[in-house]
Amino acid sequence: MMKFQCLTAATTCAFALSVGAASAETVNLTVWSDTARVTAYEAFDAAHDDIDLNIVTVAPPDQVAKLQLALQGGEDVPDVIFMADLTHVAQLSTRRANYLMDLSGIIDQSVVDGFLPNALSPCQTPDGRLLCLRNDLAHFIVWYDEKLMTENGFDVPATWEEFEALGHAAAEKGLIVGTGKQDAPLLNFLTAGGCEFGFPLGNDANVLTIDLSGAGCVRAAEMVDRLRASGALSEHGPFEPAFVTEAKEDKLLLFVGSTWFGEHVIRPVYELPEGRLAASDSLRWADEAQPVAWSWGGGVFGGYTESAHPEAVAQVITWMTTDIGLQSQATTMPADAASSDAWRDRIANDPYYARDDVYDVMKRTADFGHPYYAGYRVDFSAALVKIDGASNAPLADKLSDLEAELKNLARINRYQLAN
Amino acid sequence: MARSTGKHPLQRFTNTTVMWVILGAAFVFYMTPIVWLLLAAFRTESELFSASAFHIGSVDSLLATWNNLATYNDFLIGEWAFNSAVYSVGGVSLSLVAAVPAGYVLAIYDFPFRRLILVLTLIAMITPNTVVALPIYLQMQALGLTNSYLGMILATAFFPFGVYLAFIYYVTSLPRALVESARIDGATRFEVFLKIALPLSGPLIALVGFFSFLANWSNYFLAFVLLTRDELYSLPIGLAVLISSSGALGNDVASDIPINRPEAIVAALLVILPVLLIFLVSQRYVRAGLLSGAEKG
Amino acid sequence: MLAPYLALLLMFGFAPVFYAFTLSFMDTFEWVFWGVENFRLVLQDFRLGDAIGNVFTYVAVWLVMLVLAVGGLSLMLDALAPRPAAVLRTSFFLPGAITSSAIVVVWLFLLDPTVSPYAPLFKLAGLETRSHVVAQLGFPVVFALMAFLAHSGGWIVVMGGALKGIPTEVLEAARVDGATPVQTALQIKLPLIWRSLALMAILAFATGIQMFVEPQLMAMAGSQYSRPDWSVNQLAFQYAFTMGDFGASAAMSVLLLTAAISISLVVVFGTKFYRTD
Repeated sequence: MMKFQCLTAATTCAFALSVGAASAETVNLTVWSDTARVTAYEAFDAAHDDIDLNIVTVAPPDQVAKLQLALQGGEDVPDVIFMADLTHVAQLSTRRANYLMDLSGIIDQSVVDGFLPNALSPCQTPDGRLLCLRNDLAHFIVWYDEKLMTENGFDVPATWEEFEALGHAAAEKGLIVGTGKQDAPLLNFLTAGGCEFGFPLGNDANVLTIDLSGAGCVRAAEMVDRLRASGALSEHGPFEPAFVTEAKEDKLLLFVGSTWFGEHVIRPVYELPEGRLAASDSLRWADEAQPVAWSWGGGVFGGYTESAHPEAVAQVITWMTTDIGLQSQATTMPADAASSDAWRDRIANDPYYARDDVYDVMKRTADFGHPYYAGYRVDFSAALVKIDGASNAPLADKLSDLEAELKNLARINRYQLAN
Repeated sequence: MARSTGKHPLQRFTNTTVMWVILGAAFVFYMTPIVWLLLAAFRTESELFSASAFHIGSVDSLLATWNNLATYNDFLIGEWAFNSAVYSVGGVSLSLVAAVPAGYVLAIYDFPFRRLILVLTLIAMITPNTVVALPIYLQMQALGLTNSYLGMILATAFFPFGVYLAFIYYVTSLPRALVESARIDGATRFEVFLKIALPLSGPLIALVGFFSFLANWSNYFLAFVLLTRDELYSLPIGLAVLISSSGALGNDVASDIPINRPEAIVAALLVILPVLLIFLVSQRYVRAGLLSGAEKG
Repeated sequence: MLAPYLALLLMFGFAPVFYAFTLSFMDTFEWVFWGVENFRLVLQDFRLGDAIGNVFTYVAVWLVMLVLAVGGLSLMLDALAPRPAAVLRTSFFLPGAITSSAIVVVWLFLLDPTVSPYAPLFKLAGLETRSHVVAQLGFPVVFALMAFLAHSGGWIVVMGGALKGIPTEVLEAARVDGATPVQTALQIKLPLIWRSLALMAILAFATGIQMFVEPQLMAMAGSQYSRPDWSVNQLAFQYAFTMGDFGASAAMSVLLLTAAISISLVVVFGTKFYRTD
């Protein structure tokens, strides 16, 4: 592979020639990457003489389909993959598509313990397997425009009740406090209220609890309905031009978004000027002791269970997720605690943010990450989008339809229902 | 066409006006996306959102966009374009060799299984990709033809639609008497095809060649199934990789490589332009073939 | 002369379909024959009814648009002088060049009135945002429009070829008989290109009920437009490529293909399409 590159992000700036690759100890691994991770793999390749990586770029939406073919054919199966979509973890650890390796025996417990709280929830199964390591944390926190807040005399909300009151007040001034359209933020509203979309509450990964009838769940849905009605939650998704235009016109007061929303959306897409963006803790209901935050993404690395070189696979995955030199330069919040601390300095010293505690908020609220945030063979997002998009009726009235849809999907995907 | 053979000049005027209004509306409808796309290539990310739909950007931003694309992985895009050209030239040539004579034979002669072949051809045309993905993959793997130029070319040479175009063309446009008289003169079937049918097939070859090229150049499915090495990717697969994993369209994917919407648009143009070019060129041949065809009457 | 084509037909047409047909009766995990189990499984899928309804609505819209527009525009073009006809025909085809990855980029913008070049049209219809457009037009119409813009131009080119194949004597005779251009178009030309129109309709129907790309592409416009189980073929795709159950997928596809083939064959034999005279 190309080893002449001097990699800016990496710990090493190696000029290792790719000769000597034939030496007996060298292990050859095939890795499938998206374009964003190619340089990181190359850095690994350059820093490790004993492991030679064959890097293939694959379009993330095609990855599972290509893997299914490769698994059927038994050839060209990659040793390591990156999964941006966590449902892929579930899809690739079934009887029919048994791709993912259980890393629990191969990766040092110290490495596992080094991850931030709840970071590995998408990887750990109820029966104690470890199917992946997390690249980045992406739980929901509160992003707000400090200038708009001060100008309008608003206080930053700490509870969902305060959030709703703020939303209605903001709507009267023509401001918005987020979107009522995008699936992930909606899932956050609902799961924070206690909606059980399909969680393996027991110790069997194949038994799901699906219950959207709880009082907290209904309460959350009704809050969304009222905020949609008052116009506080935009009817557009956050990446739609209509929403982007509003944000650029200084209409976006606050957004309950994931940790990457500031660096990746508000800054480059909404182009909010320097010195205005600030963050605060994930929201909780007034009668609850602490918040529960769903996440939006946060990719993971996994390995092939029949790889000829499980140790090397574990080494690649560990390095990609925990190498401080690599992760501290990442664009998203590292899931590994030590890397995350190194990453902190970049964010804290960035004059773009109005306050220097943005990272501290992210780290503090990692504790409140939803314990069942993971990918399942039931795609919660798709079900929510389908049912909510079917009519303009209030979300609260559609909860029973949504529950039925989720239960049907669970059965099709060979889950048992706990209730 | 302006000859006044009709009985109601006024009605004729109305007909012509209505026709031009409809054609004009269709023209606007079809051209809008193309014009938009061409203009959009000159805009920056934020101009795409903020400026009006037909805003004209600047050459500078096009150059900046192109630079981002070209520097991606040491101009890997150039390699993909080269691969696409190889796959297409090979696939189109083979598909012409296979489809045109086949359509001719099916149209002119009657023989056992003729109808069966036509029906199977029709079935092949309407078979969904999902159904053949796994079989084709396993079959090509068994033959050692995955990740190879030959495998892609063979797979794309199968072009049943071309056979149908040829079939219909010879049924409608080739006088049977011409073939029969040549047969009486003692020519073999193959000679008849070479000497009588082929010279009259200019428009057909242009048509089949063009559609075969379109299908080949934009083929996503076969490349998706058969290729698992970056350096063998075709343009459409490469662009999908580029677009989808760089967050150029959705922002869910966090990445800092400079591939965004303007790059996606310019990359898209890269896929489109050769098709347009080939279309314009082949149109000329269709017309030229038509003139030579007219002499037959 | 048939040999090269027959070899390809066997290898890439017949063999894969035959293989898939076999798969549909197998448990693809244990690799044992298990009869109609796969079919029973997919027919019980709670999404199937909706998907069939969606697909047929789409096909109805798409077929009407295609036959009327392609037939009408082709006949009009044929009545023009060669040069303007060529220019217009080219312009109708151009969107057909927008394929694969490029389609996504274009439709992302086309459907959004705030940035769409069709904005005046949308404004006229009172549609201000992408969600309005999708909600008001409905998915079947949106998908039919996507397919129409991409494919109709190609068919207009094909029809142009068919119309040019009509012997000049026939048209001359009609003119001598005093037929108006409209009469010539409808009474002389239309019957002569019916075979091409019929082929188009058959293919449009058969490929239409297997539609897959358009709803799949919608996901790119934002996850709130994602409809991974909108069409029957998407369900077949999901069985194979997200669940890894190639047997169930094959069963779903075989059902779909059978429906497409039966209806096509009824049309083919009903119209004696295969006759050479």
